[in-house]
Amino acid sequence: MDEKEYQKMVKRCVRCSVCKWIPQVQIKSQKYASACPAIDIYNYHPYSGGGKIILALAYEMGRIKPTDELRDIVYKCTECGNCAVSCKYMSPLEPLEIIMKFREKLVDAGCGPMPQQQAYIEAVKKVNNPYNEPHEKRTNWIPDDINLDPNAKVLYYVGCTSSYRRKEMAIAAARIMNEAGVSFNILQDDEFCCGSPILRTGDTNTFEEILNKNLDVIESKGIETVVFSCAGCYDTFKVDYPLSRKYNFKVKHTVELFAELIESEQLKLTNNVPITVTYHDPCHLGRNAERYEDWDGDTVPLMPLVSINIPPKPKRTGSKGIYDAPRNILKKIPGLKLVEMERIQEYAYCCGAGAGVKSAFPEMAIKTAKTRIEEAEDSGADVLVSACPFCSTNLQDGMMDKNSKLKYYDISELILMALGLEPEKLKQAIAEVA
Amino acid sequence: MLEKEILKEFQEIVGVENIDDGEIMTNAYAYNWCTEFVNYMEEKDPIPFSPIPKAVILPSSTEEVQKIVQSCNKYRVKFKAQSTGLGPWNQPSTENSVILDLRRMNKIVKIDVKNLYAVVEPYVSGAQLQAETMKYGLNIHMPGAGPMASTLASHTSMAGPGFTSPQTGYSARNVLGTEWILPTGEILRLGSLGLKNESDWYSGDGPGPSLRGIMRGWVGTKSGLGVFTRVATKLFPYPCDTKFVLNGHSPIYDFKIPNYIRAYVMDCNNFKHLEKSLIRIEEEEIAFICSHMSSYAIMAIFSYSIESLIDKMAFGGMKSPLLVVIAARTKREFDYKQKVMSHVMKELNLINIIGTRYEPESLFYAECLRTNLGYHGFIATGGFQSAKGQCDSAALCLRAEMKNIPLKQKYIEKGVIANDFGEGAWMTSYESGHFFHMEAPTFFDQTNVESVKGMGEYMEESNQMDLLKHLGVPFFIEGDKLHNHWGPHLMNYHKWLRKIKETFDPNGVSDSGFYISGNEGGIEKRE
Amino acid sequence: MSESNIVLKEPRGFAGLIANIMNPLNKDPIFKQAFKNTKRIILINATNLHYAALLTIDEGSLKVEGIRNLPKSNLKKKATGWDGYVAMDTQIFLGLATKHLSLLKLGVKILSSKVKMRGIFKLLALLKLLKLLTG
Repeated sequence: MDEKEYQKMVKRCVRCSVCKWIPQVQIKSQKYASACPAIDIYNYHPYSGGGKIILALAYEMGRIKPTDELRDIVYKCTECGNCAVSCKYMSPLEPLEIIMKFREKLVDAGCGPMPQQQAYIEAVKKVNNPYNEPHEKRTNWIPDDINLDPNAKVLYYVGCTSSYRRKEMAIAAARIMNEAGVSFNILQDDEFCCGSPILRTGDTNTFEEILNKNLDVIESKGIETVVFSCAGCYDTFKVDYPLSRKYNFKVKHTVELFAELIESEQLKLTNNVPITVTYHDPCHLGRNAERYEDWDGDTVPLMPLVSINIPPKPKRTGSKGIYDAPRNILKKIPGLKLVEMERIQEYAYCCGAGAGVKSAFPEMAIKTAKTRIEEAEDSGADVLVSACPFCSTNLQDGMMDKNSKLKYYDISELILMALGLEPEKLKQAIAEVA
Repeated sequence: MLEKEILKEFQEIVGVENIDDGEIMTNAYAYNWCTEFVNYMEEKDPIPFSPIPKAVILPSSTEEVQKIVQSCNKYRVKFKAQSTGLGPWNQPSTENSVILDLRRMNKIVKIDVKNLYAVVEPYVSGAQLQAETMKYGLNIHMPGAGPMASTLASHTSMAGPGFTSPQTGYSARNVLGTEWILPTGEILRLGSLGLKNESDWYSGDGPGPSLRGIMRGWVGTKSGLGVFTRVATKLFPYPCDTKFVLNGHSPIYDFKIPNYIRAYVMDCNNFKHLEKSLIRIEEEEIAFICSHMSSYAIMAIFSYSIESLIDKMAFGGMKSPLLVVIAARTKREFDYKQKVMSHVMKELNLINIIGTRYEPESLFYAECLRTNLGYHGFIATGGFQSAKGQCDSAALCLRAEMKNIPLKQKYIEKGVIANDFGEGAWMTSYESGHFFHMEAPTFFDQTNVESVKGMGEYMEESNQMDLLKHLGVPFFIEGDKLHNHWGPHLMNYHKWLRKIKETFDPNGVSDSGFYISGNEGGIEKRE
Repeated sequence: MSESNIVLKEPRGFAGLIANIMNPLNKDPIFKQAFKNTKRIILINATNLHYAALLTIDEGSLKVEGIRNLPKSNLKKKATGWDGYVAMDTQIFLGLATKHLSLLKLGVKILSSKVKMRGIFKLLALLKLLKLLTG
């Protein structure tokens, strides 16, 4: 969001509070009407999307200063974008982008990111991952029997979380691609953090450096398609990178690839998986994974105070997120029953981990996860499934904290089961902080 | 910031984490919609911030609210209660105040299916309550402000006309038992809730003389007479099949339209015929929605952006549009209602453009049922507020609308409010034509100082016109200045109102900025 | 159809607005019937904006193109071969399009030069189109 638009938009919140709820017409119960984890936990209005816009305006007007209190409120937000979906139902405001821009301003003022986030930013700079793990160990997840093709035009970008924490997902994705005969390679030591955890804290300068480094590497290898199993990496490459620098390769999430492979019968799911699952839409695979579209139209002042855009400006409402592919996969798994939670697709409730919250406010992350887990339990499912290693980590941490009877699987693990292959039993059950 | 002693006392009541007197929090709570032109009308800077309260407190129970109110009396600190908080009447009128954000009081206490009422706390939104009552085949009244607004706030404290008012009435008339923390800190239980034996929520009146009129007055006291912590509201049969399924993605969801629902948009061509049509249709008691609105507004309710509004030019030329929605639970009921509509339309020579010249998105019907139509008012300029607000006969409402047109056009010519040709209006029937409500939504740009000033001047002139031309009492006669101005013309009601305030709030701690203060003959200006 | 080189590839601004409003008429059988023998080029200039709409009616179909309204020579008849020309601000146009401007009031605006017209009789086609739009 450029400065001019930011200055216009921060003045336009009407404090209607729709940002606190999922779209009004989608509310099916009192219990699951809410959209915003931050205000659900902390209750004060400034924690909501609209509340942060008001804070942004007050800051621009010099009514408030960059203090730790302000920083804490602004950073107690997973940038899930649910407020934006609800607001943009009818308004042209962009709450999520305002929050992101506000964080940039706080960083510029020396009032952000949070110390814990700064620590992982330093780790990324030093060892190319926010977990502060040795870079050399990034590829330790690879079992010996995975086939890689150094000449492949398809690159599997594993991501930090799958490489170091959720190895079972990386292994599952690789095995599936092998099973389907998809020739792919990985970057090995040339894979670095995508920059998502940094971008979301407002440190856009560091993010730009990482972006350029990553694109230089990938473009130098003549890659045609990059496949991601992490929603965060996928969203960052697909949506955020092109805002700074265009590239020529395609990006796909593994759910998109696997759905295609299943449809074309390159993958045959024959094994019975008799479970009832509910699918959690990751924010970065769903509502936030919608590209920005260029707009070259005109703003036509129809009359004083009223202008219209001709043609209409594209609005990212979350409608173009990846919702059908994972569900189509699940529906194709023999014996598997899919039940939906109340809050799904573009108005799905966040897992609670994103935008640095897992590291800076772990209690908020766990509380949010537990809310989502309760919703999963209420759906009647016995398994919670998703397609993001970061959601996986936080939701499983929440399950443990809650002693939930639910099991968690990544969608790739269920595909492995349906292929008759064993999912990797390398799940690390300890609570994780980046 | 609060003095240490007072802060400590509040902390002991609600817990340290549920009170914040810092600059950040209090500034954020000082902001609200329309505060900019309210400030202008009070000769202050037209900014969207009110006086900054000293603290924000989040109580979780009636007992906590009571203790806070008692402490406010002790320290002579004013309090302003808010829940979902939409609108400038949620703002404090002085810096010597605390805001009670009732967000933590969010229970649906009871849904009594047999006796048709629900009991709610302040932070239950209309949509939440409707979603729960639908499970029993029941419905609630939601104000035009929208389903995200607090049911309790609308019922106890602020206006309450709604699109479904033909069937679900007006918030003030749906109030049953009420739990009310008076400004002194006493708890008053209204109606059957106040019975010594077998108290319950089913009636809002008695025992003895009803105090509902004091609670509501003309449009509610907007936190000027204490805090309402629980209210029972009437429930109604849900008008059609309760299956509420939306597919697709935001914003244009695909709603599975229930079998027995139908919309009519007709042009009555002139106000005389509109009045006749409204009364005639409502006589038949078949409408779920029966609203007159301007041609611009008709375009707007079918649009989700200003750009998509242009596609609806077909309605732009309607002179006196009327929207009617009928809904039924059985085919027999539906056939009957359609037949009646058909008969009445023939009698009145009305033609329905729905299904002929225009077919709305299915989402329109979801929004009718969820009372989300009012939200479309924001798509033109991002800001709007209503002048007028009459609650009277159809004839008077329409006369007020007609008289308003040249006044509005004057401000349109100045370029300070958006051009809806002066006709911007929304009028609904209450309880099948029992009486009517009319307000004149006016679109301004809250970020444009000239527009804000123009809006303020227009509101003032509109109020004055209502007084001098005997057009009934508008919504926003609130605060000492306006009550002192209007009172002498209306049998000095303001003196009685002031007496009520003095009696109920001897220490003047319930923020009266949008109500009336207790100073005898004096004016308590908003700071 | 105009072959002028000042005609833009896509109708922009006000011209885009007119295109959005008018193009749906191409699917309207009443329009096709009513204008089946009409050939007309009408230039509608929004005096408060930057583009003018060149509306071409060609025997039951219509097309809206855009031209910049500066330099003023773009608006001359020889530039695009229009049959009728009308210039007004967008508010007046909306008033006309939504029947909030009566012919009498339109006359007043013409007399006060708020609306400029050339080829008045040819412009009746535009009024007919607006009437079709609003039913």
